[in-house]
Amino acid sequence: MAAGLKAPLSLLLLLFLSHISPSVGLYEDQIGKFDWVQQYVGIVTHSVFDESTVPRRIVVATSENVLAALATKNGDIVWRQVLESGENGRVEALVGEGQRVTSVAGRMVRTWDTLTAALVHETYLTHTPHPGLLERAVVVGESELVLGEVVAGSVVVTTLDRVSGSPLDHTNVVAPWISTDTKCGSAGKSLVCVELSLSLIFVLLLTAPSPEFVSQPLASVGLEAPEPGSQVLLQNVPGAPDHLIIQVGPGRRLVHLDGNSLHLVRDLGGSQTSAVAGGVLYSLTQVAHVVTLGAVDLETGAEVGEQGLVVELPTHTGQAISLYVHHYQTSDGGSALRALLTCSDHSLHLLSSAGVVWWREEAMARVVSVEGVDLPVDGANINFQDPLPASPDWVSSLVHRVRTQVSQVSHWVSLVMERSDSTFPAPLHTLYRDQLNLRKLLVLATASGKIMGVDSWTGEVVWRIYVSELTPLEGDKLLLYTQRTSAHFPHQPQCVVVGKHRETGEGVLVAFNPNTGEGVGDRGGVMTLGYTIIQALLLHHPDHQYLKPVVLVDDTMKLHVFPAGGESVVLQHKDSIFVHLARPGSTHLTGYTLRFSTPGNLVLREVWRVCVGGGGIVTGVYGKLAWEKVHSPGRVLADRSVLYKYVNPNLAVVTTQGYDHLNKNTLTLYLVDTVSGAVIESVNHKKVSGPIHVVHSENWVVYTFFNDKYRRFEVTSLELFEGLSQANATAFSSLGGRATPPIMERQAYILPVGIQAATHTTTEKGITTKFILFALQTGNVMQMSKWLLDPRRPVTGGPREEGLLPYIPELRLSPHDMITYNHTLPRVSSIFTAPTGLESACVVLVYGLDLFYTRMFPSKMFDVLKDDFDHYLIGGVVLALMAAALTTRKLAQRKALKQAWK
Amino acid sequence: MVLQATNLSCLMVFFLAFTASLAFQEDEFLDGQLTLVIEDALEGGPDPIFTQRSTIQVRSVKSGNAVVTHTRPWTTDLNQKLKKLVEADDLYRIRVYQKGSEEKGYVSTFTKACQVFESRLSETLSLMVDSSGTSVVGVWLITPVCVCDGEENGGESDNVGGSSNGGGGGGEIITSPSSSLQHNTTVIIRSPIPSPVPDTATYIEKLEAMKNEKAEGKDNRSFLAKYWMYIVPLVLIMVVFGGGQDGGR
Repeated sequence: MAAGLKAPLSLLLLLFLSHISPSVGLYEDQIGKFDWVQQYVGIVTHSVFDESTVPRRIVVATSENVLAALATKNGDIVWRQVLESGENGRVEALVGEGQRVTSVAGRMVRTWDTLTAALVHETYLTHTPHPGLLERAVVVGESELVLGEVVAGSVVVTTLDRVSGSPLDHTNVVAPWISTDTKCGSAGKSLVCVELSLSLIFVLLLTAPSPEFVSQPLASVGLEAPEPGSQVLLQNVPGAPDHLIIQVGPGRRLVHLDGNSLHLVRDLGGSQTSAVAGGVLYSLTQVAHVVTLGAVDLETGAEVGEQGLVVELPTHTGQAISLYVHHYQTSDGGSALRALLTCSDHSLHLLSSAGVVWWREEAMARVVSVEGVDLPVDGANINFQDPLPASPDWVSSLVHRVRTQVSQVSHWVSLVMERSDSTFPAPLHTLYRDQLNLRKLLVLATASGKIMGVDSWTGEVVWRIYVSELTPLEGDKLLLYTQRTSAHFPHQPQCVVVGKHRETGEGVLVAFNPNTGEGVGDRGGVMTLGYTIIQALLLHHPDHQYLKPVVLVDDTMKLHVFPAGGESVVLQHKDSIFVHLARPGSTHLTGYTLRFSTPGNLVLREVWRVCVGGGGIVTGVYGKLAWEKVHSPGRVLADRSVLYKYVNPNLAVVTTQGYDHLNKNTLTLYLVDTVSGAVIESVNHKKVSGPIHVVHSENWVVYTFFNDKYRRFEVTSLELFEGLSQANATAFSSLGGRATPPIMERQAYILPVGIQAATHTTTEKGITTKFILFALQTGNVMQMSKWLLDPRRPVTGGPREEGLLPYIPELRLSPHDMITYNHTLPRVSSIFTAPTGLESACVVLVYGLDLFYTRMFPSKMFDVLKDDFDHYLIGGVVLALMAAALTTRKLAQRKALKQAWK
Repeated sequence: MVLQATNLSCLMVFFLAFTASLAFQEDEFLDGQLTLVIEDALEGGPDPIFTQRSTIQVRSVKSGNAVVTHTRPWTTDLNQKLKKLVEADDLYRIRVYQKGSEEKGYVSTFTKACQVFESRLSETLSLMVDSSGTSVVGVWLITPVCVCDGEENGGESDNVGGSSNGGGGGGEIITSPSSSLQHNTTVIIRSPIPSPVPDTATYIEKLEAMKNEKAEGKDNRSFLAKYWMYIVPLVLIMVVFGGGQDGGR
């Protein structure tokens, strides 16, 4: 195969490549056939209407630290720049200057070309942010930049040169009244602070030579005697930098800043958000989904009715949060209006007098959890899945079977008849399962409280539910469970989302039908629970209606079951239900049993405890997929003996991270049995830091981290084996087993790039080779065979197991293994995989700022005939052979007869 | 300065004395000494009361050297309690804490009471100690009987045999099996495994060796071995065509 490559190494490498890369590698014409990508920007915080370029565009800065230009015509992203994550990339000011925009984010001042998205100029501010920063005001001037940093007790005003970034002037304004409760905001060149306990407004002109706070009573702007503890809100007015909206409790006032003094302009009570364009103040009021933009001349205060708008927003839209209004000249010389509106469900709308021009579902930029739901089967198969009568005797079961098969045949006949005379495709919104169950309904729960059902084939949103009070739990989590799948006709499938209340912090539960998006129960399926949730789990045992109950643990360690009728299921299985809890930042993990529960009183009782010592704290607990199937119980060794896997379904990986002076950052992994609390195995790393990504499946764990000592990313692979015999081949019990711990094979590899997220592929029966999906920091998603990460890859020669390659410390990144081909996905937060009806196929959804869906075949399509498989040829050959066999038999018989007569 | 020096010498003397005293006490190197107290609950129920059962003297975490002393003799009264637990299908719970540092809390685990009963109090305790060897992370209780079959397992000799060391990194000490029933505990002390590191050195060595082999090793194969891929087709062609000529004649 390679005569020229005589070097054994190259031969080895070549062998290696030809042998192990079952990579799919996409053809150009297949792009977009089985995958789709959707790009988002996030919640818009700043925007600039750019008139200088054609087509016209809106430059926006978002809460996801993204700077993007949206086409005014259709809302498409013209260009997008993803800035640094965290505080360093949060855009605090966005100023449009002709064909350029200037953004101030963290310590960076950048000027961008709006047409080409090129970075024209960048300045690094030589100014360290003050510790204990409460608020920062930024004033972007012609040649200088003024920062007003509010800290407790004072305001630090720094003037910096905009070109060089060096500090020019530095003043510390003492303000002993500033506390963490003080609300400050910037407007134009001033910093405005409201201190409710003093009922005073303080104004500081930041650009003044010697800035000084000037105070005036809240009553002077018409906000008299506010109740203590009422909410204070300072809102900028886009389009009028020297104006500010001060909201104290229900009172809402527009004030004008003139140097150090401010005066009341207008009472804006009742409106939600306001913006100014062309000297006209637009205030938005919203009743359900109808928004009204009232126009008032800012100078005279007269109503300019004809410039207002009344627009109906799409359903499932939340309350308006911010508004940007822009006036422009139409081709016939008149002036028209465009309004960019952001709502609490994170949707972005462009409004004009004609209505909603376009809108973007920016909630998708913050998807928190995903579930793949099987679509309902078409009518033909429904009867087939009808449950049998409760006590089937042979007659009734025979009748049942005959009846279902007759109905199936008749349905098929009618289908064939229909197909012949009508060529119209089925209506779009009736989604049915395809033959191989490759089409899924992806249920996405987002941080905005919006839950969406997305058709996996097209990426279109099929239904939406917006629950305004729903917000993620601690640690940015929404729990999404499938209580009932679509396999139990006539029962409808049911999913629940568990989160917390936006204001009270108590639990909120949303139950809905994932196929239609209809809420189950009262109030559209939304339930406010009245207690704080600390743990939730889905039971494996369904009730008599095939509904798996969700068990919720509140902060007083009381148990609640949803639906309430599921209590009987819990009681029935109380001896085998164990719950484990780990508080974030704590040093111990505790296990509880439900066995002491009685009807009406479900209780948790502690049965085990694991205490991670050594100054570390628990940073993550990673279990396995509950429904995971392990196809093969062992591995065949080179000497044909079998090494049995240690497959413990209750095993969880507990990561603890700590710091000590000798070893610097440490990471310890404990493999804990979550039923008995036994620590099966543990691995200790020194001088490593996160982010840590753990993939835990079957009998192996793969995790990645950053090695501080060698300054490289590493991946460690652990695999557990019982040994050459099994303790109990039929069932696994956490309470019984060998006295010896399982054998742990381990190996480490170097990764050339960092990882944003990692997961493994899942298939229906677990026969297909597992692949690990790594979302790289470069924005690609790479597939890597588990074989490459196998801890048993031999370092030295000797008899080798089948399929194992010699150990090479560095893992190669092949461009063929990038399942995202030429797409770059910034800020990937997680990867979701789901099995399909086809054993070889697995659907993948990568989410984060963008959504990317594809399907992959980890072991190629071993259970599918190729597209170009010639059925006719094979059929023809078989028939011909049969005919030949028959004729030759006849001939042979005749010959034999003739021979006999001779 | 003087003060500092005296302080230092004082410390030195103290340290020497300390090490000397330790050296007299123990004949092996000390790499972490722990005294652990085991408590169990024979009362059962949702809120059990724990009573002290045994102590474990861990002499060395590294070598897993530990001695178990059962501080509570097994009485018929206790046996009755255990039987009651078995009848209620309750759990046998134990917890372990460190003597002298009770504030660190305890670690605990459980097993089914019937498993303990049917194993005739024979058990293996596997204790995971943290990487610094100063505290216990978790405890694992394994009984020889995995599945209860409702009758007491008679073969005590089996249990004694089963308690010979099998632990990966740990040693064990067996308490003397008395004729009367008593806890028969095997202790395995384990600590976190040091992390694997990418083995670049061996790999580079392997590459070097390959390179050297290539540079040094001249091709000393025979002519046939080197050029068989050219010779074989040639011979084949000759055979085929030569055969054809023969046939034609």
